[in-house]
Amino acid sequence: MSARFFDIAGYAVSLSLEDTVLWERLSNMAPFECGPSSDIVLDARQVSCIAEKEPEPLLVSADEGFPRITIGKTVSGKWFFTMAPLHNRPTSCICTASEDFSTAEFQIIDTHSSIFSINNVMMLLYALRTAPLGCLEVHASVIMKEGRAVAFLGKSGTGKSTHTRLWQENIPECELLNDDNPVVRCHADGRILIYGSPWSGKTPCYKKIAVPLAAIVRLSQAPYNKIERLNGLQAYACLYPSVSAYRPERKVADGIHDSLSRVAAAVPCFHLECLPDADAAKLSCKTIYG
Amino acid sequence: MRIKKGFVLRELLGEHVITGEGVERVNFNKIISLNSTAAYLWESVKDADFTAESLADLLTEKYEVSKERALEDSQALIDAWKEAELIED
Repeated sequence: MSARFFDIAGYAVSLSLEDTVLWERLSNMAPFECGPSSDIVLDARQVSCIAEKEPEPLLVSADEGFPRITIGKTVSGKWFFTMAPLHNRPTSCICTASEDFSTAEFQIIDTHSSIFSINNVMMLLYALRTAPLGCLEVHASVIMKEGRAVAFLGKSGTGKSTHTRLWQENIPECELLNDDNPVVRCHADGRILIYGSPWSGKTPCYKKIAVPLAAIVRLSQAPYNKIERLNGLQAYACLYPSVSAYRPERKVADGIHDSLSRVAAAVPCFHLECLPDADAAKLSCKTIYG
Repeated sequence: MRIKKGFVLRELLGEHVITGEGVERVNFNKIISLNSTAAYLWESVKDADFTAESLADLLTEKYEVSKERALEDSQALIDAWKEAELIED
């Protein structure tokens, strides 16, 4: 068993693996590695066997083309997760977690998808554990410019990654921070920062960087380019579908609501209807950066 | 009828919104905004069975409104909540 420590959005987490050869293939985690810490928020360990019996799931999320995740609760009050790489594939990994998600054990069932399993277990546990601590995992592609960042939201297939690529091709001095799953953290002193994470979808972009969140832009496809500022309530609604949908208990839901409210009140939010062209990128850049 | 499990009334930037939470509402990815009267009624009946009549009673207790008008408004609100799939029989 070997434990490593990672700093994700300023919170230390530890991950222990039995199959230590897997570390080599977890290169997405490497930039986030930090020294051993006793002040960790999450301790996740791979085990060879989870003794608990799988309970009847409370929730099954199995959309076509997406990973399948089930969440249940054991008789002893622990959370019990199962996951698979796609909606119709057999379970690749099971996981149990303490009530506050701070300690967890997971068992890899299908060794062909070990890396998928570890990354998804960590993403899920991190989102649930840090929701009451001011963090939001946001489904977004994020571009940095002038020491601040813009998060582009939208359903899968809308063109988030295309839009941030158009920024990189047409706008000087900008850089991708993350292409799929950055972390927005609301700090106690009022700052709202966006952090790169070990999870970036299909684009390998794993940066341990934090910058202030300059704006949030929801994208929709359209036969024209048009951008519109959203008010606070609209901003909350615009963000809502792009943060983790798993709010299995009140503390998690309250944490997500508090963070979303703070972001909606403090960060300019826009709706961009756009074509996949350079003008769309220039329009969103000019609107946000002037 | 009753409010379905997993819907929570929250304050948001001075307004009232309903969000879907818990394991029951994982696919309810929208928020619904209520005015302060609707929020008062929601808060009053969130753990109980209710009818258009019982909502109308709550309205006439708190506001200066005729029973007839209160009943009309209550029925309209129930229709809207049904349409939004927030309540069940």
